[in-house]
Amino acid sequence: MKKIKYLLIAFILLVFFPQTVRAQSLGLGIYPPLLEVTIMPGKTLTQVYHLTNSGEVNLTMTSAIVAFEPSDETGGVKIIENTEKLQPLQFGFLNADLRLGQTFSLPTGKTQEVVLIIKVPETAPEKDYYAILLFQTSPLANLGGQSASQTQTKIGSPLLISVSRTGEPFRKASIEEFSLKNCAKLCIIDSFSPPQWLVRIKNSGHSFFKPLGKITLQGWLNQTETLDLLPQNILSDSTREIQCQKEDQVVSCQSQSKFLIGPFKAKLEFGLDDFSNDYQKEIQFIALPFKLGFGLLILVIILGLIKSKLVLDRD
Amino acid sequence: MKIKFCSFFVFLFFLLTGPVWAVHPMESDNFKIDWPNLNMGAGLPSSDNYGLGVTTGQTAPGLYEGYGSTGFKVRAGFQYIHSLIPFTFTIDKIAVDFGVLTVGVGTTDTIGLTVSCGSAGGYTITAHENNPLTSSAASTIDDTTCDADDCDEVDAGTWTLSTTYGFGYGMSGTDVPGEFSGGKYKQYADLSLPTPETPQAVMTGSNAGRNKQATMTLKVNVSGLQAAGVYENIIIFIATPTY
Repeated sequence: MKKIKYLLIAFILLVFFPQTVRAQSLGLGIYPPLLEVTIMPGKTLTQVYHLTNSGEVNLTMTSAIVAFEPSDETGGVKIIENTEKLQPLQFGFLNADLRLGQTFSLPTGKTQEVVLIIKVPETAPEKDYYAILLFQTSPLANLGGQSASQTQTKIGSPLLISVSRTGEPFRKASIEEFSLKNCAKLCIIDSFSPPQWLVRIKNSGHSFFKPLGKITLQGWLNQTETLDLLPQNILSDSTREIQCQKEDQVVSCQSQSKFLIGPFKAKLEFGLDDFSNDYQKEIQFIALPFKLGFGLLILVIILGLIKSKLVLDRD
Repeated sequence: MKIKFCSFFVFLFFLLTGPVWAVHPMESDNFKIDWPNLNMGAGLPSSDNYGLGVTTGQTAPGLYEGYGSTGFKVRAGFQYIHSLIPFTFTIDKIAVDFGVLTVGVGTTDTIGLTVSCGSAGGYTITAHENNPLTSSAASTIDDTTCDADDCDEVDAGTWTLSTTYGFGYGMSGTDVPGEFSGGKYKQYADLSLPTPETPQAVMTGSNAGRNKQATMTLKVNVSGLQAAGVYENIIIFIATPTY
């Protein structure tokens, strides 16, 4: 009887007072995922953010504003804990019950709205400031005396802030690379392999911009094809590999043509935050049916060998 | 006569008045709004959550024209993605329990990572550790350098020998860096070093998408010289959309 009592107590303790919650999922969502601002010195703006707990555990969160710089040429961010780069901009929350940096609870399934306020002092230098609004969880698990790794999750949303008195900050670009992938200077491609372009654009101005433009492919038989550039942000003093778009889908900058033959011209043209041909570059290449020719050659050789073998056998 | 006059007046009214558009560009010398969507408010709004002064407007209003009149232009979200779905990151457990560590027997466990880009164009997930696995007596299990002493927080290497000791991780699944192919492992970037190491990407995607999944395999193997104790650390994930 005593044994059953102990077992019952142990069962109740196990069910109602679990020692660990480590197998439960942790999920966070943030909206908007990006904020782009061009603002005058002396002005203030606000933006509402939504942070959602989509996991299975109640969370304790804190917030921070950190600086970032590009980590690669594909839009990745490298967080810089030192916020000196963001001086003298001032960030805060307008919520009545929550300040930036203050701890708050976020129960499972709930969304916390925060109103971010950005103040730009009158004396702020006219340049770009790249920041991330970052929310982070506190480690949760009760490890129960076992060797273990706890997890902590941070989720952020980048802010691209360009301070300018005129609203038209100095923008300048250069085409770092416009070439066919896997192709040397004298470009000869196979007719059955659709060409794919590598577009790398450098921002050498003072403000981020989006290249708006296209790649036009034109052949000697007047075949034409147009690929629209994806309007991706290029930050000041950085280079970005630009992708293309088709029917609202992000695609690589690759021709959709199944067969090309003869000499071709590919022309890249774009403007900065504006459709124009301010920046242009043209490359030429030749498409020939190598694989088909090679296949035919092999076939001819094999047939020749068979024929000669038959002649030898007959002799 | 009066009826005739009234009919004529009504006829003229319909004939001469132009169409009334619900959305029409508004402009003056100082500003131009192509697609006006004006929101107005009065008084001082307040609730349990907010103490707003005079802020009115809407979430993600798109690009404001009329820089001179407002002093700013703002765009929330991506121009080429028409979605209000949040960027979401999920891990399937909040801690990895290695249990009792046995000498020369590598212990592994996994964390499932899921990313839904939602309204974001792409994303990066990085991982690092606050410090190597450390006991309450300040003993540490060093980060692995793999079988050929060729892996660190940047480069991955093969780790299959039971005589290779340390702590590390491998990745498999969608949008995982190619260096992990073949079941390779690397160290976590260590934040406790005098010059903290840079967190490394464990998942990177340049296209929008839902439920992109990957698995992180954590591995620890200790030698007979390792001091007894309970070893712990914190693995920190940072999820950010691309810009």
